[in-house]
Amino acid sequence: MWGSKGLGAGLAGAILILLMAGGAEALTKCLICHGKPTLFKTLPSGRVLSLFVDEKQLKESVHAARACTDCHSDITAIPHKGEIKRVSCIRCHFKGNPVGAPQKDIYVEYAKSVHGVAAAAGNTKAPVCQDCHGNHNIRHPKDPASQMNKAHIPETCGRCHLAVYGDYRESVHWKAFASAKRDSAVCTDCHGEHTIRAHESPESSTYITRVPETCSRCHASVAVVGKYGIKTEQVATYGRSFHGIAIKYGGKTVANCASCHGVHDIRPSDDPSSAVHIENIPRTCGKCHTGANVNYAKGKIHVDPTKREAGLVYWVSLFFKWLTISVMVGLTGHIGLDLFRRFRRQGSAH
Amino acid sequence: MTPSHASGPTVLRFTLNERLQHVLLMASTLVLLVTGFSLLFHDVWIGRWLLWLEGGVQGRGLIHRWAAAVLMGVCGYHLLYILFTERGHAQFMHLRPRRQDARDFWQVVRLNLGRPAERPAFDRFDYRQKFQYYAFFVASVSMVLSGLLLWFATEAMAVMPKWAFDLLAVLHGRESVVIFLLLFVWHLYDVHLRPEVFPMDWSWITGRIRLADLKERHRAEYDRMGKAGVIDVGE
Repeated sequence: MWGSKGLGAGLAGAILILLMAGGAEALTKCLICHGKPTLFKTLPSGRVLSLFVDEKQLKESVHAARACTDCHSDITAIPHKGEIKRVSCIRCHFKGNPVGAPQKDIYVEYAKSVHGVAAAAGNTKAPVCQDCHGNHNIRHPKDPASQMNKAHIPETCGRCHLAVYGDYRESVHWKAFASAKRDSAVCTDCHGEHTIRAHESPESSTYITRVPETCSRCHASVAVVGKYGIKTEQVATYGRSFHGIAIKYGGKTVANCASCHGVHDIRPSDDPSSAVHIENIPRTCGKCHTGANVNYAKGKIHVDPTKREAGLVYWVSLFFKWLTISVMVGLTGHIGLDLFRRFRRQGSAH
Repeated sequence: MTPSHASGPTVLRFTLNERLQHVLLMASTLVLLVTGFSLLFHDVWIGRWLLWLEGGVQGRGLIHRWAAAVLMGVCGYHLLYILFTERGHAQFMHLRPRRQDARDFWQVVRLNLGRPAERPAFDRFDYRQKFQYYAFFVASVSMVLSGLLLWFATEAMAVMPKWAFDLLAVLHGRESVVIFLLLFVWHLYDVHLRPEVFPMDWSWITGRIRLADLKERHRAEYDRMGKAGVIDVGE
């Protein structure tokens, strides 16, 4: 089973060192075997698993000061025998832990997430902490080399979600991000991190009725999208539309942002392959409105009747504004005069 | 000032048929205004509360459309009534705008401002009642038409561009506010709050008007009826 030929020779030395130096030199001991780039194991599936541990990588990680057995706690003797269990991060990362390992309440949310639920149900493909955060290479997410750094998140998620990753790489969000617009959305901005849910779950930030709220976190904010010249009123105009009102009151059969703009492959409206490109609007509307034709593309979609650019709609709106004001003034004036005369007449009668 | 519910000889002003038309029109319009405003004001507490009461957006739409059906029914019936019944046609003829209405209006304004003027002798319908009738006539037609196009938007958009849909939506919403003002500020003042009718002009229920009130408010009609011998004007 073991691929290394040096294992037997290393064994005697390892025991010797263990007796002499104790835990502090655990890494050195482990590296006797695991420091060899050629160390590997063939899994029952036929997959070859490298058992090499890059010392440099480990020393640069947030766990530089930890001993191997701090995480691989089921190893009590060298050489270790039998199946080595998966590392459980919660051994240290629990609230009030004595070693000062960071712990936030949000980590606990993982258990309720789509990943956590699947992992707990025994799905071995479901990611646990180290699948996203890294194992020996674990770094703080703020560290540009971390696989949880914003710039690497799509790639990290894409290791499992490959097709979605492919779509996303074509999207305006990734293109903007890649062109140094670092506010642009990566996976976690829409889906959440430890709270991630399947989009069918009403708790999900990507649930049908919650999509507008999720998109508006950036798209309603001048501070976020405004500086890139993206209009923020699209959120407000959607909110006032029949779609927006219906979804606010729990409608599940009306369009949210993604229904028209797409999901992972959102493209700008001037891109001919965009779902909201003027040529594609009949087809996009036609997903719900059977028989949608070119008429659906005649006129603004996110229309604001109070803005001049709304054209005739603006003028009609303005006309009614002034009609309402004049009717109000006219009627109160007429009534006021009527009452004025009556009370004066009444007064003079006394 | 004599209270309007004081006793005295009365004369029929509105037939049962007309009163029923009015009640159905009133009920459907009220429901339409409430369900319409809950959509128009969906982002403030009153709209949210009304929407909750109406069973959400779906329930609201359903009630609004049923009420619209009643309104369309009563409007359609009214058209037949004024076109094909003798009584209805006569009422419509009484409602025709005349030059005298403008003169009456001017006289009332002068009177109200305290200028010397004769009190106008109104006929069966005074200028305010005529104006309200026509305003509601025009409003109903435009609301029914725009409402139908919005109701059957998917079908309408086979020929109607998106901007026309937006235009109709804006028109339907904003016009409802004007209708609300005409009804609640003007019409309700006329039939409830005006000192001589307060708390209510009962003729919309009883169909009858006191001769004294007829003489006071519709002098021309009173004189005409007296001459025709329909009523006893005394003296």
